[in-house]
Amino acid sequence: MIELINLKKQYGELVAVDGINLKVNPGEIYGFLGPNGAGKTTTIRMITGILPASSGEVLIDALSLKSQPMECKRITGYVPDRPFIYEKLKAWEFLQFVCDLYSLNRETTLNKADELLALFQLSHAKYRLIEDFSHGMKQKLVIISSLLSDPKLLVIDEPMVGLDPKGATILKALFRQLASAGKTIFLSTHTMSVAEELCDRISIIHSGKIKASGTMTELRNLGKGDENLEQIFLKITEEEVHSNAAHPLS
Amino acid sequence: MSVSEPNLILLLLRHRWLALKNSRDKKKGLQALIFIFFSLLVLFFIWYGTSRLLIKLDSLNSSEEYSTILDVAKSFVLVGNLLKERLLSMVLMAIFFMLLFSSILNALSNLFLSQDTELLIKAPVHSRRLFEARLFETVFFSSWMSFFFFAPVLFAYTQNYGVSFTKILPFLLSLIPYVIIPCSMGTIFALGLAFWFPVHKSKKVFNFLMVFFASLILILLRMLQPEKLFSIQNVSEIDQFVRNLQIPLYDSIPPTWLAKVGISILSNQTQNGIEPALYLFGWALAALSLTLFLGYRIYLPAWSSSQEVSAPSVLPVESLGYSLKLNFVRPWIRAMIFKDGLLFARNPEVWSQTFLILAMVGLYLYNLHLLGLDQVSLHSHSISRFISFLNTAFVGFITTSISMRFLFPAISLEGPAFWILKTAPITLSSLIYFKFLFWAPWILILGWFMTSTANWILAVPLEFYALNLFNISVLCIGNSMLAISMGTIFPNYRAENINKIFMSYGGTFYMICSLGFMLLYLGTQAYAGRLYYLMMVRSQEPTVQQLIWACLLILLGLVIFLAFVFVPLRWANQTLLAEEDSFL
Repeated sequence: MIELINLKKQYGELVAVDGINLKVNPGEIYGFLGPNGAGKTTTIRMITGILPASSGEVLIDALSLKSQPMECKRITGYVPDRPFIYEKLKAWEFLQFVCDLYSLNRETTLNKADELLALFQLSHAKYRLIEDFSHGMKQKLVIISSLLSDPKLLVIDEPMVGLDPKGATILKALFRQLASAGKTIFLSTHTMSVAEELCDRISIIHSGKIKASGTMTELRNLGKGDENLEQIFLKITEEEVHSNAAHPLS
Repeated sequence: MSVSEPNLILLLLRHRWLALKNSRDKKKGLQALIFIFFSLLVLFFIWYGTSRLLIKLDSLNSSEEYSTILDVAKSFVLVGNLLKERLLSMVLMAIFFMLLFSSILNALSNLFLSQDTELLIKAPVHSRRLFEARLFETVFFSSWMSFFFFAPVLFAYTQNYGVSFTKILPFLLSLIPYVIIPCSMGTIFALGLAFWFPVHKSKKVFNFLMVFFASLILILLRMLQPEKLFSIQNVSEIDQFVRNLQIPLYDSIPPTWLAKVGISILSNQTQNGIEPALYLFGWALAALSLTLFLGYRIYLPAWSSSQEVSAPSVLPVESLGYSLKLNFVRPWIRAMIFKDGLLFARNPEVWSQTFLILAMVGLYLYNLHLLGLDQVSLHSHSISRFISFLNTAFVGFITTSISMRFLFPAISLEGPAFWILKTAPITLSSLIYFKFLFWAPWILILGWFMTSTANWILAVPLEFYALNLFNISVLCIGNSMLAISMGTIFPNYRAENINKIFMSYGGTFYMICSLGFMLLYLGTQAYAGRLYYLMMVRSQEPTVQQLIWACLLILLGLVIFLAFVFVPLRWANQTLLAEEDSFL
């Protein structure tokens, strides 16, 4: 569903993403882990077409994002880490807006929107201005809007930030349901337990490069075999830090 | 062991200063220099204008033209001196009301909207000290700019009266109570408002009301036709005029007290200023005591309530787009019309600015009406045609200013929510076209309205009317597209308020380009217009060579129009595609 080929993003001298290669299969929940500033969000923005890549290619469902951006965007849903949306619209107006923006069938889509609002317990806020929403409520609304177009691929940056425990549980169940229906979910997170619990495969990115990837079992095999994801993550990223510290000019 | 409380006023001022210092962008050094240069230029013009005006008013005291008037007026006072006193009163009156309005907004902002209030309330600082610090901030930030611009006026007065700076120190001291009175009133009002209404909405409502009333004041001032003061026709009018000036209409308000203090010092009659100065200080003390009394009691409860209450929309505009259906347009266009329409309608600040623009338009047309071209019998036809052509340039300039305010920021205003459009299946170039099609018709309608009304007032013939209408259409369309393109090329997605978007390099560059476009385009049209005028009014048939030149110039005008529209548009498209702002 997603194929990143030698994907690179450079801001002047700074290389944010350094030629990464990655393949995500349909129906998979794929975790993208890394410390702050590792290049997770930049990669995600390139996958969703927000940022142009400096070089390399992004394929979504075998379509090139560069040459067929409209087709790629039509089948992709995106939830950013910061849920900035139009504060002066009401929740229901925002969902109507997204419905038209993706040229979706109004009746069926808005029925679906109603169901999702109920699922995430936001029905009471349907006609409230978004500016009055809490961070978590905005996050839920963005998640709902991303699901309206029934995307084949859902790209989510830090999905659990701001969600209450109940919201997080609902979302995790929804992810599993979507994956079993053949949808692909690509998520970045700092919460190791979420990744460990949800993801079929995981990649760990550090300093713009993928340092490790595979299933949980494959990642464990990199260490002693009985470590949890947090220990593996720390080991991989700390090794990198130590090697840099040993050679500060390298 | 007792721990002394920090001096909160100094602490907050230091914190503000550090924030200002840290926010300085070294790349913007040139911009700061330009800003300082223009500020100094403005100060110079205020000083120069006031000085000239005072000299002109002095001449009224001795002019032969008014010798008969002086005979009448001698028994009361010299007309010029009286006018100078009135002018000072008017300036101080204007500043007083500006202080009142700005202190309401500043008090709302400082007392209730500051992000550090929660932190300060939790800190081991007495709430009374916090209120005092906030009150100080309100007074300071409400007044500094007024006095920045008042300084050259005061300087011009001291020069005109030949008074040294040290002699006006008591006047400067009297400015303190003069500032405290409106700021206390504003703070009390803001406290009450926040106590009863949710403050997040109140500020927007007040922004709206302030501009609305400012527009009204502007219209009223213009309707008074102050130019008539300088075109007095006969003695009886002057007699009445002096009597009117001497009516003590506003004797019991702080600006008049301060003006009296000022005039008494300037005219070396200090004893006349003691009584008004006592009034000023007395009332300031009373206002300050009342503010502190109320603030100590109301501030914390009002702040708490402002954190809890949620109010309905200020301007409720329900289902604007979807009640219209708009089934004939593509769904994404419908979505954008709906979104941009609602965001506009729910923002009271843009409504207030719309009122201000309408007031300006009204004043412009009223001024045109006052030109009284019907009284210029000899060349009235030539003049009215010439003015109608000039009017097109003026209207073009007005629409440029409006485009800068509404169209230039159109793409930047997508701001942090731009990701929604960037990840949607729409092309970014179509977004630029949408913004143009959404806004340009309003600019065009305004241009047509102003041109039509002006041409009607000037009574120009139909063919000139049509020519002017065509020209203004080209200018409005060109300027609108230029504004959208330039706003895309020089975006500011991180701007906290809209002013920061257009008051920038990009905004200045747009103004320069737009003026260049209008100058070049109208320049190419002027020649053909002149030939036509000579043919119709003076019966001078144009030569073939002149006609060829006219056609070539008209064609050149078209090329200029297309160049100013499509070159920036292409650049804008490329900029948008390559946009890498990490904020988005």
